[in-house]
Amino acid sequence: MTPAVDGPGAVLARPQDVWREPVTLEVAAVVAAQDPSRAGLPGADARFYDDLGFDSVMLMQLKYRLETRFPELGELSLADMVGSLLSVGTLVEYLADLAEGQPS
Amino acid sequence: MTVYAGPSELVGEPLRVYGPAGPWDEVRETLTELGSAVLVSRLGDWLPAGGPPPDADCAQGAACLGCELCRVVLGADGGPARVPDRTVLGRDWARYQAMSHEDVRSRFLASRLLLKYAAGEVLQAAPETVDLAYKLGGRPYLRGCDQVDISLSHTEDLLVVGLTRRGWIGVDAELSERRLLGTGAEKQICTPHEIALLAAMPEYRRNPALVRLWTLKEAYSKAIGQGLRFRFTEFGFAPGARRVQVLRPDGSPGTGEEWSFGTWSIDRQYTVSVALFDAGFGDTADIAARTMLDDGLVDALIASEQFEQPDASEQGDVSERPGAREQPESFERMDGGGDPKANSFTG
Repeated sequence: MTPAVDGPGAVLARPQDVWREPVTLEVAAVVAAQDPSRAGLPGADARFYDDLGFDSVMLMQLKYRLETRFPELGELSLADMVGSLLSVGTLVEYLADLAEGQPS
Repeated sequence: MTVYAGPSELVGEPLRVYGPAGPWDEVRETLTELGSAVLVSRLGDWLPAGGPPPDADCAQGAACLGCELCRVVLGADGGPARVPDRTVLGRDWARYQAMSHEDVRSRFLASRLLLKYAAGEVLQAAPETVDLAYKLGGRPYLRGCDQVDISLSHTEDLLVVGLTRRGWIGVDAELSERRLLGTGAEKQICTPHEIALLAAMPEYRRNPALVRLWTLKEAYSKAIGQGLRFRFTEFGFAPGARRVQVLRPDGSPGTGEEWSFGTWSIDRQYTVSVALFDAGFGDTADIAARTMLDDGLVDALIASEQFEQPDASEQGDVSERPGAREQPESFERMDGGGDPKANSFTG
């Protein structure tokens, strides 16, 4: 699936673009469950700890939500993911690579 | 299986620290006697609400915010002194500045103030000379002083620091009422043995038991420097045992007797666990920075005059400082000592 990016001179989207929105929504859901006052959608640069206030429990909860939302990815491993759990963008890249069968 | 030396012997009760005033004499005594100490403190002890007042002498002039660039701490004379956050945070400064989550930012700073004051008192060095660094994977350590191992944890307004000269230490804190059951967490935290034991518990005790398990596993994983890289379902703990010990997923005994564990309830609000690995370094009584610093580094530090070792007489008697003798609010052992009802795993 290769949706086009908006605007003139649009280029074909990279694989991670199709992951960005649903993953961002799952991240936002974990944040909102912890602190309902933080309801906005995080950007790709938002860092899990420094910007979004994630802790280990929230990372576990995010992993669980992603497994539920994307059963095609199979069981995720926090131990394997932890290097990619820097920002929303790095997680999106990790999941896109995983889906492509190209472990990062 | 050898009976474990429990944390009452090796760590002792958590020590309540009320800010820059300590009481550091108790921390030093505990570390000298037991080789390890767990310190608990509150966010407000280090970052008073509203922040420090604007300073007429501040280099920022009228733009002084009182709190953004400076921190009011206890000076060498026992009175208030201003220390720039930049100086205290050292290599953490850039990251701290870039943090956008206010609560995380506050806890990040306050936990490092607690750690640096504690390490400074223990090593007889100024807090701002304590060099907090991170290993690959994020485990914090005192650079140039590997003989004292440290661990940090903070949640909500609780700060926890573990210090040991015995080997490795890991600490972890969590709100006791944090909901873990039913969030998918138990599948990632528990061994099959633990899942079976949780299922056999009355409903109202399952979540507190899971929180306790989680903090024990986090503390253990932090002590060995693995954090979330460790697969939590591959080791467990002995429910209901007077001595907490590591078990294999099927419930059989795991690691050796070098490990000891403890869990406490702090103010009936937080669950705090500690994991301690005794590598047999416990006989070193002199842990002043000059003794403990790696050879060569101490010369470099003295030569650069960044390392000031205050005369003992200048340190003053911290027990005379305000608040130093207040009693801890409420520490309740959760692992067999005291009220059996407090033990999340009995039954």
